[in-house]
Amino acid sequence: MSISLITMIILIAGGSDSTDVSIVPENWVFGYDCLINASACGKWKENHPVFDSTSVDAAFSVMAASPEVDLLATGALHSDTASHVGFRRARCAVKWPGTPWIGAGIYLNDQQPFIAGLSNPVLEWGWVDIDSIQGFGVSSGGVLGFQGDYLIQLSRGDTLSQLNVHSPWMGFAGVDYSRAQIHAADSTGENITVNVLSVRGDFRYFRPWLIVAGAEGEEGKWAVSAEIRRFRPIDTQWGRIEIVPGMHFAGDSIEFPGSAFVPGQRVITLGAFLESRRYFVSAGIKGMVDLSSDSLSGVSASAGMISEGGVSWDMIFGYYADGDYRAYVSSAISDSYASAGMAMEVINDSTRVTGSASYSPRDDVCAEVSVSGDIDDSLQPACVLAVTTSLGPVMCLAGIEWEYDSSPSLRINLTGLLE
Amino acid sequence: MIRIMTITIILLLILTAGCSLFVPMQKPVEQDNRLFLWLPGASSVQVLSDWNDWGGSVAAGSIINPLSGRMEKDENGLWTIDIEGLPGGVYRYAFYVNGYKWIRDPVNPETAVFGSRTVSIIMISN
Repeated sequence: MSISLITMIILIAGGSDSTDVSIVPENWVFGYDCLINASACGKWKENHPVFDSTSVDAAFSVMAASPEVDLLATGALHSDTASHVGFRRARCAVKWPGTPWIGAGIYLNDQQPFIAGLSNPVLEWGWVDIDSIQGFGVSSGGVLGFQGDYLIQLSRGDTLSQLNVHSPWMGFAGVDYSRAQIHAADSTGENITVNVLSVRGDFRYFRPWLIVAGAEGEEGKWAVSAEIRRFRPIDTQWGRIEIVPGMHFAGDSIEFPGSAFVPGQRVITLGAFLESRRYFVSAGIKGMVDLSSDSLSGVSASAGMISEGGVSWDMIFGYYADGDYRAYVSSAISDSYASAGMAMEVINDSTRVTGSASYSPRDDVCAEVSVSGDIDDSLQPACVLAVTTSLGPVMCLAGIEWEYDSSPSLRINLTGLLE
Repeated sequence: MIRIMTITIILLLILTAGCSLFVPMQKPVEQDNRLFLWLPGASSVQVLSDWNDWGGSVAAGSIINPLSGRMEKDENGLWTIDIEGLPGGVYRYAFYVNGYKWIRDPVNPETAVFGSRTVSIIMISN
């Protein structure tokens, strides 16, 4: 309520009146948006629909920015069986005039720790519950083009800190350093420290990428990933073939909250990727050899193409030394109004086939139906029908899902952003 | 007899491979800093990625913003988005079609995992 009142005051203040007097300072930009997500779910029972759950989420944000100050406040409403209203997110940051990389800020549920890896991240999103963190951060930079930021936050009583330093692009290389620490509030909790150094090189014929990660504490908490990118022995106007050698080694005790490293892994990889400059076609194959055990050894391949006839092809294949294998093949033919496709997914002994068709009477409306089933004795058929519309910032979905041995479930969803 | 059948099969394969079903479509422009998806019947396509907090789905509230990473559709049904200006690094991304369906980039052979989904990777050096 108070947020709405403040927003109204700001909006009224921002508008011009007959006396041409405004209380809005110069160089300030005000804005607001409202993100709404409403859904209803139910079942089809006794020849009529029965909706047994509805929910509404709304997030109302007010923003104000000037060259020196950045303000954001988001209030949220969640309503299902009961309604909850509260502050969802807030940010108040100040920047040094003329040098926007120098500043400080106070954050509530706003800065989630994340550190990228070479393919999968070292620290994954959701490592810390975003709704539990609040803290203070400073950023600085300008010295030889380096930039850094430090954030110290509280999460359920634990102290979480993160330091990031980014070098400028030095013509042939760039370096990033990140350090994340969590200190448990009580002595029974676990303290975690993650240091990550990422180096990206760019030489004439290849680009080395290196990630070194380590955790403080007992031995064996380290990891190294490296890949040579952009080594292209064949590079023509039609396309190029890139050979990517790599290695991923990790200590036996490493337990990073991400999927980049597996404890004890000693994996060497070699990939070859074909990419066309002029056509929608690509292919790749990657082999992995696990030097410590065979559990991660295997080969994977993928290929994709969009043809002149309006057919898209997508294939993924993987086979691992422990006997697991996976294959996925899909193909669809499309034009402006309709499409039809078929997909087959094989995971070890299970094979599932999906047929789909869609019709789009207008640019912003699409109706799609898909039917799937296992190719074995159980069959386990399933069917999904969805009608979607996209009218600018408003999206609507009405869908029916049916799985073998259960009643059809209904779903209506509306998402909109009002600015 | 076997020779006739073999020749027939080879001819059929050549004819099939030469038809438009297996001839790749030409890109409108050659640009490394754009993502493309050919999907003429879709009502909306967004790019969700590490660079935009997966459209807001990993931020507080976990609602995918319908305008985040919104792609533009041309008259041929090709959805595009410009990603120039991203800081150097490794990013995972996926296409979010019609506001409910996740698909990886079919013409990017490099894949990773986000949650339980197979997504694509792009590497930007500087």
